[in-house]
Amino acid sequence: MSQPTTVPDTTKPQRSEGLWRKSVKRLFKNPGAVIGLAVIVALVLTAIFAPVLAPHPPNRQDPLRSLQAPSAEHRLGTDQFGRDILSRLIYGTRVSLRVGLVAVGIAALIGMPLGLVAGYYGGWIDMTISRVIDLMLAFPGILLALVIVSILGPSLFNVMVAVGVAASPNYARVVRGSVLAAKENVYVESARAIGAYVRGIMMRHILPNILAPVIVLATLGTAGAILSAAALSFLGLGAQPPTAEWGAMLSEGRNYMRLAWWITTFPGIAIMVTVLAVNLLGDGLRDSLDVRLRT
Amino acid sequence: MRFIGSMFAALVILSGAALAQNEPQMGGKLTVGIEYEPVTLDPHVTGQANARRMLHNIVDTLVYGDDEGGIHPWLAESWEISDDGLEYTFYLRQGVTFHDGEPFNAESVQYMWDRIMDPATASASAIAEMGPFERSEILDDYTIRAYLSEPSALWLRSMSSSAVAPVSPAAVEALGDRFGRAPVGTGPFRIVEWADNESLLVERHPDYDWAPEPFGHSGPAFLDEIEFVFIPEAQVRLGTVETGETDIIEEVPPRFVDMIDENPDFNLLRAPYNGSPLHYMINTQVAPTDEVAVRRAILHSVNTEAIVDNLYAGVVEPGNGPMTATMPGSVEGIYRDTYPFDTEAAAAILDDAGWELGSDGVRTRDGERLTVRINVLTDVPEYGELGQVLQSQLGDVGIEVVLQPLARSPWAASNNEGTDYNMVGMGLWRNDPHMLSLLWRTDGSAFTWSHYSNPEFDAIVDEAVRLTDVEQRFALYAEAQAILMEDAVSLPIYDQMNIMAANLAVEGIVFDQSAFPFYHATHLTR
Repeated sequence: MSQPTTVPDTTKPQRSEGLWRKSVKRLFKNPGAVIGLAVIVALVLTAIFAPVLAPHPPNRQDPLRSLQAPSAEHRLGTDQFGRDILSRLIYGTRVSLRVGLVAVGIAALIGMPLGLVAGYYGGWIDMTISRVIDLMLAFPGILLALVIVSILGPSLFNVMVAVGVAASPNYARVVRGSVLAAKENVYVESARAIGAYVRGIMMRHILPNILAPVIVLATLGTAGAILSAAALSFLGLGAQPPTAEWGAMLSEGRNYMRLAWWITTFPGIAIMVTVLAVNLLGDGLRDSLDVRLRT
Repeated sequence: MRFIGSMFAALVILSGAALAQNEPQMGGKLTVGIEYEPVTLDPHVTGQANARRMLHNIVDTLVYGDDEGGIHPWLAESWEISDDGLEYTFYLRQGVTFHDGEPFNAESVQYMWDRIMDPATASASAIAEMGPFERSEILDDYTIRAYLSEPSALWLRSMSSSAVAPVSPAAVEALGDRFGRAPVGTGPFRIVEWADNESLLVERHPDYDWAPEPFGHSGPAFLDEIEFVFIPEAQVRLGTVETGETDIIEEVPPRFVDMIDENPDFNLLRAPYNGSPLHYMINTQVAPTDEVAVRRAILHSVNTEAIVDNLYAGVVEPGNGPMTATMPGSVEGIYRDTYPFDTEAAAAILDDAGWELGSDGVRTRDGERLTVRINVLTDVPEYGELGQVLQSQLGDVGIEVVLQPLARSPWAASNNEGTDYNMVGMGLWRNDPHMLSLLWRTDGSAFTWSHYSNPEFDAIVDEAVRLTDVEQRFALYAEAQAILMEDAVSLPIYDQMNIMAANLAVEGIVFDQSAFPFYHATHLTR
């Protein structure tokens, strides 16, 4: 307010682009993030080319080859139905990545508008939305997801919805906080002063400036969503047989752990590596997009 | 593989012989790993096998049925059956007391029968044991007479079921709804504590002196205490017996039998369950399995040999038919003789019925997919695995299988309702071919999950239960089994067996006709 409003409008997008480019550069200097990104790219390619990469159909049972240890024919062994573990892991990549992305998408779609509205309007609207968010945050995410999936019934799609809804208050809270800061900016005030529509202000002036924390949250949230979905499938509430899903594979193999360690070990490693990779990338993104590091 | 059955019988007898040679040692606590916690321990209410496993040691019955078909005196010292087969007079043992100190007498027997017959009790399986029972009359304190509406070849044997066990009337009245948590019987052990989701602790009934003759000794049990620990995960259960946390475990998964067998530190005890195999009851009321052609195609499509070798390591036998092979009166090999494993025959039956193979591998007729829905009990992992095998095997002939996972009570509710599934897996353990009525007679029992009704079948089993001549009875039951197979109402998977693992310190376990263990004569050598 004390400064005269002399900043020309045309310089803004350029400055913003420079900021993103700087962030990407910073990201690539972070070895953890690069490894995470590489693993994720590999997983995405695996998911896309699953039918080419998998040596066997994932659901084909072969009674004569049940519980076989890893061999040349079955690189990671077979389960109690004689299904090829490697092929199931490869197809499972599709399920896990889809669950991660869809759940986070749902969470962001619900959470962000709520946060935007609450943060921008304030007052009783903010009060109402914030209390609902607080209420939802009082329950651990996995418990909330469990409740939702018990109501909707066990299925993979319902797990995506449940995990998404359970994670949505985090987005609402982060977005609300950022909006509170962003709406005090001079350019928002000027936009309001010249009579811009509220929706335009939100979408054009506020949203782009609060994306950084959301991207970080979404990336880290993907890891959490994959883990939650695997946990729900392990409990029999998610992917239904014979779908090859990592959590379900763990669950099906657990009764054979003493006889066939490979049924549970490899899906376990797959979940661990995926979640670790996504977390590494998320950490890297947080460091590179952090406002406090901007100079 | 047929000889295995007799080998197991020999094993069971051997364990009994071992008991006679050792001087039993008093005292000690036996820890038993058991698969799941029953809902109630009220013998008159429960229909669950695991309730029976424990109740066996807590309650006694009027007569004892051994594993070879013999009937011995127990709480009844003797009995008379009228010539027309309608009146049973029991002369009861005197000096028997319930765990709460109340005396056992004719009144308590009448109380038990009336309680089971009372619809308010909602008996799941005891009511079926009562058969044609009409009423009873107390002749004196220790003599009671039961009147049946028609003769029954199995009524006396039914009185050996732990479902029909006298309980203390005073305790029932005092405890009300909570009686199922702490039943009071006359058995060698009485309940100390039932810790939710954890264990049931029982202790020796010190006044006990009325065990039946096959137990080898009549006095109080040798053990001080038994703790039944509920351990649903098979591997964890196995682990507990290996580490010594438990002395004996129930339900060793067949896959692990070799592992235990090779370990010199453990004994493997096996006893075949009589009754039905683990089978899928096929719902005759819901499309598409309301069509006999579809049911027959299903029976042709399933390779039970492969299932037994694959999931059960060849330790059990493929399902025999509506009844297990070891069951008295069973027609041996009836399933495979009627429906050999033959996917081409299955395909031909479905083609003839107008179900045509679609491009996605699923058959359709008039735009309707050939989809079979299976109710899967999630409490027992086995059903999930079998479901997936059926999904694959039936899929090979173009039948799409949808698995409907359900927890125990919604599962039972759905089965009883009978409108929302095509198949459901279960096993009913009984010792008389009368069990066919329980599963398939119109309104036969709480387990008629094929929702099958065939007047011809009903007439045959009703006639059979009245006959006392064993050969004539079994001839009728053979006809009944043929009808069931003809109508394809059951898909037998395998004949079940009670496989237990015990450490070497445990001796003197007696199995009765139901293949459940009695621990009255059990003692520890450590």
